[in-house]
Amino acid sequence: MYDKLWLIPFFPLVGSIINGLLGKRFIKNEKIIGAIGTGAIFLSFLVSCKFFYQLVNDSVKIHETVVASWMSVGNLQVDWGFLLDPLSAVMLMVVCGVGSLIHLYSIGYMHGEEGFYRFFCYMNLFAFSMLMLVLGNNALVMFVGWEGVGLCSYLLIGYYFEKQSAGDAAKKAFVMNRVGDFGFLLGLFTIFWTLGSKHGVWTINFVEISEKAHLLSGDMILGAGVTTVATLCFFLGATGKSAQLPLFTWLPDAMEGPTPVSALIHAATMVTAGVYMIGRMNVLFAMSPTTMMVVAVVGALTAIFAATIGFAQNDIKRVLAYSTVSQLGFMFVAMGVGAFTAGIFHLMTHAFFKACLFLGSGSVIHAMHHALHHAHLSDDAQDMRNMGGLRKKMPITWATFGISCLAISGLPFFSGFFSKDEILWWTFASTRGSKVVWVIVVVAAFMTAFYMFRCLYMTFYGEQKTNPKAKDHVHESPWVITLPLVVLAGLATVGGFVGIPHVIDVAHIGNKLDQFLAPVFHHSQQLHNIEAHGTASTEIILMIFSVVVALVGIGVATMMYLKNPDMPAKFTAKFSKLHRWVFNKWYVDEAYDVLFVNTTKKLGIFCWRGFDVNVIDGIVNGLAKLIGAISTALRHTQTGQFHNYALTMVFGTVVMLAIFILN
Amino acid sequence: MSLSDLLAMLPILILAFGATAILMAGAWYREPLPLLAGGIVTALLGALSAGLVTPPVPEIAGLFSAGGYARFYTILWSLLAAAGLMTGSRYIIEKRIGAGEYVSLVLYAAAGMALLSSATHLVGLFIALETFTLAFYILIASNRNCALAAEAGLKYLLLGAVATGFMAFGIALIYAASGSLVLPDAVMRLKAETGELQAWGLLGWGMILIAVGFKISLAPFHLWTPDVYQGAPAPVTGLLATGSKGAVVAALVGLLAMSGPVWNDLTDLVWLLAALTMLAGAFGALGQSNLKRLLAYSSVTHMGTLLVGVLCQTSEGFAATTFYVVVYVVTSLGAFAVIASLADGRGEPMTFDQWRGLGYRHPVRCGVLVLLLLSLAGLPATAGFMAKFAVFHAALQSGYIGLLMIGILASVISFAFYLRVTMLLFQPDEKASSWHQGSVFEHTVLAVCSSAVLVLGLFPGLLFGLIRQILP
Amino acid sequence: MISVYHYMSVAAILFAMSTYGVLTRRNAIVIFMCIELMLNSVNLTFISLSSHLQNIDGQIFVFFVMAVAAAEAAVGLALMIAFYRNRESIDVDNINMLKW
Repeated sequence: MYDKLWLIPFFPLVGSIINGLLGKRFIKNEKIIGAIGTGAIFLSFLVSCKFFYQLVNDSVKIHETVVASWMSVGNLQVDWGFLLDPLSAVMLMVVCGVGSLIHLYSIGYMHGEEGFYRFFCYMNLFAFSMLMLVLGNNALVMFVGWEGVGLCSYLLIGYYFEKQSAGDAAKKAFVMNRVGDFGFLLGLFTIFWTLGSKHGVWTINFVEISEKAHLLSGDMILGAGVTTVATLCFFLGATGKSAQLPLFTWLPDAMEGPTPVSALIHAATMVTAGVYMIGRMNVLFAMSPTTMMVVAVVGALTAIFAATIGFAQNDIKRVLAYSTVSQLGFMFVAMGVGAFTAGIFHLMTHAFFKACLFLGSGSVIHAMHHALHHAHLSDDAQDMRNMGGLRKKMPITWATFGISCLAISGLPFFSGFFSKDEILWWTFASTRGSKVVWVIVVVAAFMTAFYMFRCLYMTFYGEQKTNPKAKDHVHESPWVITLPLVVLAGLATVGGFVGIPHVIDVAHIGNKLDQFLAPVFHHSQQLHNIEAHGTASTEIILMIFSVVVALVGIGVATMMYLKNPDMPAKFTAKFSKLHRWVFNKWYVDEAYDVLFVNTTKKLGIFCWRGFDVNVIDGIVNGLAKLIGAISTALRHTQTGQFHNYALTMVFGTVVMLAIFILN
Repeated sequence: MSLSDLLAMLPILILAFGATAILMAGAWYREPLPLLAGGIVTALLGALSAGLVTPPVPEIAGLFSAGGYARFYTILWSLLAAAGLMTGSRYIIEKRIGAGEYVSLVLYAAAGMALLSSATHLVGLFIALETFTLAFYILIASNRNCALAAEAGLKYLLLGAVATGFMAFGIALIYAASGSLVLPDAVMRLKAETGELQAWGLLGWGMILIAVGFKISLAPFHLWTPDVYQGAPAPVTGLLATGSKGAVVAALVGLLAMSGPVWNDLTDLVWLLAALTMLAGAFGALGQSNLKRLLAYSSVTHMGTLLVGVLCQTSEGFAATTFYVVVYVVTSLGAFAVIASLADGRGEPMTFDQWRGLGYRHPVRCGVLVLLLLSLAGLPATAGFMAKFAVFHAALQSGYIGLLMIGILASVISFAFYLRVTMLLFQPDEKASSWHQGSVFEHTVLAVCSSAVLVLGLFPGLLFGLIRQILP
Repeated sequence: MISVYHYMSVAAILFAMSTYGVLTRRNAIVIFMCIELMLNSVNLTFISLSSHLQNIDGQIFVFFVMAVAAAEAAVGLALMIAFYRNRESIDVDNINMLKW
């Protein structure tokens, strides 16, 4: 029944090969290339829908199919095998669904770019790798995907390789991801080796690892539990891929790539691979409270840290990038407090609204770019200070962007509300939760609402600050761009209803997502006694509190950035006293300036410049420099002189013999 | 030597006599193409006879084995010789190098490599090693008008001769300790000995290890590698990087698989060599801006990884090493074949400036090069990944965790320079000039190498099954 | 009484001396002669051992070493000529075009 699973990654692979080989010389036509690329991933989407539907109605929820034997090394048998369970099914729908929309969008966005075929070739290759990552039934197939998505990300960040900054960004992403990969491999080998050498189970199959994981409970390595060491290594892998502290600085730089790439790879799918991986190995993570605490704390710190930096950004894509880092932090908090379902839920809703936000920003940048180009200006098309008042010019983009802002801020009944609320509740009430983490996350949620609305207001409201020459050339984008926006905005609005919390479930629909994912997560949650316990009234109070927090964030942003030129004048005329009391710009702004703008902006700039640029980049660059220095030193041993070579040989011999004799 | 011995030696005889015949024919007849065709046919015949003719005796004159393992490598090296002749065809025609000499030297080298892979006696080991080394000295400097080639040849000769001296002295010490030159025998007697004599024997093995280390460029005996690779013409470098190293590793594996764990006392030393080699190769390659030198350092790293597989001294380690040798030979040969196929009147494209943007001028061959480089880097789903994985897996099972971590670190670092070349190839550069279109021969070799890399990456079981059967 | 140990000691000293020569001499031909000396010290070891152990293998090996040394000399001299024609020198300090 499920033996056709291989079709899902197969279509994008074929699409990629066709466009890669024939795109430049034979097809040439942008429409055909775009249709092939989009069609390939859309076919995968249809197949995924079929399997998803099948799985929902199936009583058995975990299915493995083996396409071919890959290798048998000693007593280890590895297959090209796929695993369809509720977790991978949800991911499939997200990757293929959002992926299809972004492919469609790219046809419009990339129109006229040099290397159009190359773009679609890479995008399909990315989709293929991501689907391998999601579907793999063992760690090696997952690693194939894991490396593949990294490679595609690297290629796509450096897409505009004539730009120096794009090349540097690609390099940075590469270095940080390799650090992560190193962790992933170490973790894998630790589990594999301990299970094999101590318990005779040589396997890298996820289902088998989950079944046998309990054997590892007493094992120690390096003075700590094996599961703790291994899961920490895995988590290091996740921090690299999913841009968490301290390996997050590559993600904002990755915005050098084309915007659809940012939406697909650096917001909706690839960067969530780390979260997915933890979900896949939840049995192992649940065994180690230490690791889970580390995950939650790192996630929370990343969430608040990136949100702070988001204040100081004026580049629309960088705001969204830091917001992505911050939201990924939320997901890791969820994983860390044992709310696996909530983490995956937020992953899904985040894919909807963040993809929509990125595509919306792309639509704006696209329009700005054309207008500026038309007027022969070289202003920055991504700088929000050049925008403003685009609401009238780009109504669809505005509406969808606004809806997504409401969703990400967690306003009731938008998708982000449900997922964020579930995370907050678990953080507060879970047996693995922590009140301190909860406070940090709530503050981060407040900041999220604030800077997202700041971004919305600066872009779409107020006076248009675009150069007058270009002002009138800003137009709404074509349908291939707006259609995905509308669909994603729709999903961002209603997508949350699959996971309605029990306390407000008046219609008794039930938390569908939780029920669906139960076969994957409930076992380990029950085994390790991970649950959220609290009274319904506490939950409702917390929920109201988080809504209030979001509203305050939005309110502050509204006061600050929604500068309607008429309003102050009218108010001054009608209620001059009240105005002076409440709406006097001087009080509010001044107070805000003192309390908020200056301090947080300074904090934001400090975090960004001081920590991000100096410390993290310093470490990365320092490492690169150290390796470079070693390499140069080694290069200078290569003198080309016969005597030096012969002497090294003899010296090596003498040293070897000395070691040998001393032994 | 009986008739059955001769029959068992048939592939070697075909290669050696074919080479001699072509050498003689070349003295009178100077047309290169027929001579080349004759050489290719001879090499293929050698491979065919090794594959089809079942040897009537398991061992030839007590010097060489005729078992499945030996025949497997005979086939591999014969095919390598054929590929070497194909990639070298345009080089000898354009540089007006005596086709008779070139063809016969490549065939002699193949015969030497095949003999080395099947040696069961220290005399056999020594002769076989010298046979192909001597052929390579000449091949490297075959273009007499090129100062760099002459320098590379002389450098390799002087250092190689020192290594030969070490090797001979090591054999003498083993002989002194055990009184035998037959390999399993010498090892057994050595184990039985105690005290001073055993120390001598181990010292002898240490000296042999140094000579081997020179041939397969283990650090710190690797310094010649980049210089010689750069100076030698690419078709010869392709053979030198693959055959001359692979045959030595094959001999080591064959020897250890036959005679059990000889190296227990040398383990620490080999461990150190492997670790040093992997790191030296990875770091060395980072600073290079010449593709041939970069590939030289890459081969250093690969040899370090191979040594990890050898060090395991388990059947799994040997199987992994053999698989690795095949994969490395195919991949590395392909990479040098790409360089050879692009060479024209200006020479070979070497520096990164010459390679920048070539992906747009020669998309197919640069695509092949990218595939091969990714395989060398060990990207999953390519043959290189499978090979590395198999070796690391064996190391893990033998408990060499430290070495495993160094290996992973080295491959993480090496990803950087392979991808650097990949990015370089597809950077737009208006100044990128077109190079030679390449001959049919060269394209054939590239097609074979790249498809082998893909097939072995996706279905490594095919080769692993075979290797398990033939390991002695 | 001169025992096999004496022969081997002489051979070992010879080997060390020739290694030293390889490392210090600059003329490629002299270096080459040192390498030949290395091989000859090996030959001396083999012959003395062969007579000591009453085993013919050692003497056979000597013949092969001599053959290899001769072949190496032939190839080596040819290479030196090729190098000389390009660089007008056989000083190994001039072997320095390939580096870094």
